[in-house]
Amino acid sequence: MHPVAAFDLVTFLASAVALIVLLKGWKRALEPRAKLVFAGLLLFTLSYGILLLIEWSGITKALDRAEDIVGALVPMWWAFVVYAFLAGIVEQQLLERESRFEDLFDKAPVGYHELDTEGRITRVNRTELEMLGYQTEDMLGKHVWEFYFNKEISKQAVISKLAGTIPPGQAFERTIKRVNGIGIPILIQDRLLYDKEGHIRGIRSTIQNISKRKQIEEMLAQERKLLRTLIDNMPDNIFVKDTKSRFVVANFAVANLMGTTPEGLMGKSDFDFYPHELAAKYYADDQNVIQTGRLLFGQEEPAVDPEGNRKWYSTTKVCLRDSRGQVIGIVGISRDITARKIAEKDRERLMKTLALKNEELESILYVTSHDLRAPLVNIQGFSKELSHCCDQIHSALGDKIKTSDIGAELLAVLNKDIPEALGFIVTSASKMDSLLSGLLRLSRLGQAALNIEQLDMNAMLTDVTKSMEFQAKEIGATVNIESLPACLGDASQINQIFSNILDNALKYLDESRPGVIRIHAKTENGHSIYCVEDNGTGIAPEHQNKIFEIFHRLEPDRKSGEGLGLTIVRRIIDRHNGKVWVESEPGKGSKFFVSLPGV
Amino acid sequence: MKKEGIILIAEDDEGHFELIKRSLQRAGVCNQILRLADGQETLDFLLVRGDGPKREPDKEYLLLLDIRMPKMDGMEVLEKIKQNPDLKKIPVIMLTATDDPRTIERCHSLGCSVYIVKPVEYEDFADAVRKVGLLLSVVEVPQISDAKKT
Repeated sequence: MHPVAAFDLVTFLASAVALIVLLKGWKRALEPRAKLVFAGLLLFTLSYGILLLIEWSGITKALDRAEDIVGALVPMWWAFVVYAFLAGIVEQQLLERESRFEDLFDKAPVGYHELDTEGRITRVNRTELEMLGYQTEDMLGKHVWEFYFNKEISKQAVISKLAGTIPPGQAFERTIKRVNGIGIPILIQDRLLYDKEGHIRGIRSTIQNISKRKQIEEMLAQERKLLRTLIDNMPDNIFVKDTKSRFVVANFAVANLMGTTPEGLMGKSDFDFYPHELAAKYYADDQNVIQTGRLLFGQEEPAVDPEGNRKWYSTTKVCLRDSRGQVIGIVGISRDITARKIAEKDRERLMKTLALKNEELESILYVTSHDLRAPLVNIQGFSKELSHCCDQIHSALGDKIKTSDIGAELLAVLNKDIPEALGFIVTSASKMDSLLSGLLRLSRLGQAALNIEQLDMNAMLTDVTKSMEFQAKEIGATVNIESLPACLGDASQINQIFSNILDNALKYLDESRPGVIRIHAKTENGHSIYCVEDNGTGIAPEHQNKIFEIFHRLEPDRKSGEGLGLTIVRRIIDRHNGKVWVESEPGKGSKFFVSLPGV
Repeated sequence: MKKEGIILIAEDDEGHFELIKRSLQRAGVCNQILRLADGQETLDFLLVRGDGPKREPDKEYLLLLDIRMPKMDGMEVLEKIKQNPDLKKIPVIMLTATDDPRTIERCHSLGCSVYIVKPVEYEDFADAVRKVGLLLSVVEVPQISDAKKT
């Protein structure tokens, strides 16, 4: 190719490139100067291209002149090309900066819009659109209050601000309508826009979604309400006092006691309501808690209600501190225990009366049994003296009596009637004596101090059984002791229990079969439950309740005893906080259960 | 105990006194026996006051003391005797129907010499008194006036 032609080709291509660069800028609405350059370049490139085409097609001669003219324009053209390049670079930078601002605006962490003087939205950023779910065209040109729930208020506010009557200042809250109609709480911050002359030309606002914060606030309010409801309606007194013992919080219970309302208590102290002496005591307690930081727990103290009735309260006071740990007062809870106090006093009085009665009863028992024994000594003694006298008469009369007529009759009286009568008197006196000593023993059971210790029941029952070995052998009975758990009790009294029960078991065996007595036990709910089981005669259901009664005997004629054994058993077990009961079937046998505190 | 020694029986129950006396005599005790009907009389006798019989100096005494008696009970009498420097040497045998362990302990701590429960059974009663009789035959009883002399 001709070197000139090559140069021309390069010039053409370079201008084409410059054209493309500028074309990109066109879209961006370039400033008018750039557009002019672009238009000139376009014209030049087109005409130069046509000339090149003509030159190469062979009609050069005819157009030499034109080519020369164009050729003369080549330097100028180059200048265009360079300018176009430089403009392109500047343009690029401008574009980048602009897009950064766009980005900053659109993707700001807050919603953003601008209003014109009529309150219409002129600009709105992407964050706001996304927050509300609208498209740009949904919002642009609309009055901003159209989007708020309380339109009228918003409208008035916006108009006033635009008119300059109220300055935009503090951030404020509104509820804005999302595209789906649901409102979201937002925080709005306004700035007025002014033109060069200083006239208001619009408002620029940022909006923030504060639903989360609102939710938390709502929750807190709910909790506060819950707490307040609880405090207010507690039957116990609840109050908070400051460091000078003035009420800061008080519920209805406190207010009622002090004859006022919770509001009426605020800022007041106990001195305003109670007699000075009581108030001074409460104040001293408050101050002690505040100064030492120590808890006052369940202090029982008197109070007086508005009618002047004396009441009792159990009060707990605790230090109240702020978030830095500084003592700012006390929190107090106190419960009305007047009823309990009265009950306690009643109980105390009852216990005293009971103790007195018990003492009286025991002393009556003691005195009567003693006094009743004294005549018995005489009855017994002089019965013997009488029988002694009979013997003396008998020997004094000697054989003479047999010979007389009335002798036989007298002899019969002397030998039979009188001794028989004396026999009845003596037996009855003995029986009365044994009843009296039984009563005495029973009364003494209640007086003996209990020495509670852990008892090895295996050893004890072995001892008890051994002491009855002779009796058992005599009637051919066997006693089997299984492994027994320990229990807590007074050794001698518990020994007495099992001696009595075992004695009964041996006494009431069935003569028609070999007696077998089994002693076994189990542990249940911290109690050791022992069972003495026999295969004896058994006890009819109607008698089962009576066997523990004093002087009750099942077979008074057939069996010996005072009718006290099981009464003593129950008395001892009652004193040990235990239980005794019987299960029995007539003809099969009985089971006596004894439940005592386990180890 | 020598024959001159006098046995005092403080006993409100006449029957009991009679039984005790007979039993003692049957057991071979032949000392003089004097009945004092209640606690007050007993104390008056010993302290030589009042209208009733009175203790004579230089005689030996031994006291069988019942507890439950009108006016003043036996334990109080015992206490007064043992608090009195002149009388505290008199041997005191409690002979009573009470077998309450607390009473027995109290009497011993007050200083009684022997404590005997009156059994209701006559045989046992007689036996008990007989044993008292036997005891008396070996007991040396001091003269009360000794205390003043020394």
